[in-house]
Amino acid sequence: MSFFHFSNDAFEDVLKLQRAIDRALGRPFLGHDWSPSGRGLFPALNVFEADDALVVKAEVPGMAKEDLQVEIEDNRLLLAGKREAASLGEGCAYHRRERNSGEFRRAFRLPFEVDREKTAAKYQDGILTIRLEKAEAAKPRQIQIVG
Amino acid sequence: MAAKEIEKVEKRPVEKTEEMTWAGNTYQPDVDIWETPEALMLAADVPGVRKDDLEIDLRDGVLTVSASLSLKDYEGLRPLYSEYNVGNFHRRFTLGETIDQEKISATVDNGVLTLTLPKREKAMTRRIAIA
Repeated sequence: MSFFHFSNDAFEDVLKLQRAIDRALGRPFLGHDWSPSGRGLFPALNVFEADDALVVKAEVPGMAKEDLQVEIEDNRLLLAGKREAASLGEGCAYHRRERNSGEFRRAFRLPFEVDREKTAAKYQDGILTIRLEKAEAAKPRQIQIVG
Repeated sequence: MAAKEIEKVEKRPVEKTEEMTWAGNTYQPDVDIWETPEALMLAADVPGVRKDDLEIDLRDGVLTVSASLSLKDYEGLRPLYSEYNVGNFHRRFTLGETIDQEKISATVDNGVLTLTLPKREKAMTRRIAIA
C-alpha cells in the first residue's frame, strides 16, 4: 500500500484513490475497531496518514464555519456542528427535500498524543479537514546503543 | 425541545443504467427542490466540488448535474481508516415547469450547488386598442 500520488492519468488516479479507500473501509483502525458504534455516526470520517501526521476528513457541506467546532481533549478529537434548515418565503413550496439538517456531535479516540499547537483545521468546499501531528513524546525515535 | 440530530445517510451510488464516460464510483447528490413564484430552485450537496468541476446541462426538459472529483486534496495521503468513499456526482431531473434556459444561474458555496431556474414569462396579455 502506498501514498496517493498523481500520475499522468487522471482517469487512473480516481480509480486508484477509490480502491485505496475501499480497502480501508471496514478495516479496524490501529487496533481501534470503531464499529458498530462509530460507523453509523454523522459525519462519516476518513482517516489518512501523511508523513508524521494523521489527516481526518469529513463531508459536511453547507455549514457555516462559525457553526463548526473542533476540539482536542486528551487524546480524543471532538467534532460538533449544526446545519440550519433553509426557511422558505411566502408562496414557496418544497417539491423534494433530501438534504438533512440539525446538529451533530462526535468524538473519537486518537491512537497517539497530539501536538495541539500544530493541529490545524480547515473547512473548504464543504469538507472539514483536520491535520493532527504527533506530540514530540509520541514520535518514534531511534535510541542510540552504547557499549 | 432537543435539537434534531443529523443522521448519517449512506451515499447513494448512481445505478449503472447508462454508460458512464468516467472512471469509478459515482454518487447521487442529495437535493432540495423548491418553487418560488418566479423560479424553480435546486440545492445539491456536492462536498469537495468547485465551480470548475461542475457541468450543468438542460435540454428537452431534462436537467443533468455532474461534477468531477477533485484529487488535489488527496495528494500524499494514505487511507488508514474509512467510513465513506469519494467519487464523481451525477444526477438527472425531468422538469415540469417551462424554464427560461437563458437565465439559469448557478453558485457553489461550501460544497452546496444552488441552481436558480427562472420560469419563462407567460405570454403577455396584449391589449388591443379598438379604433
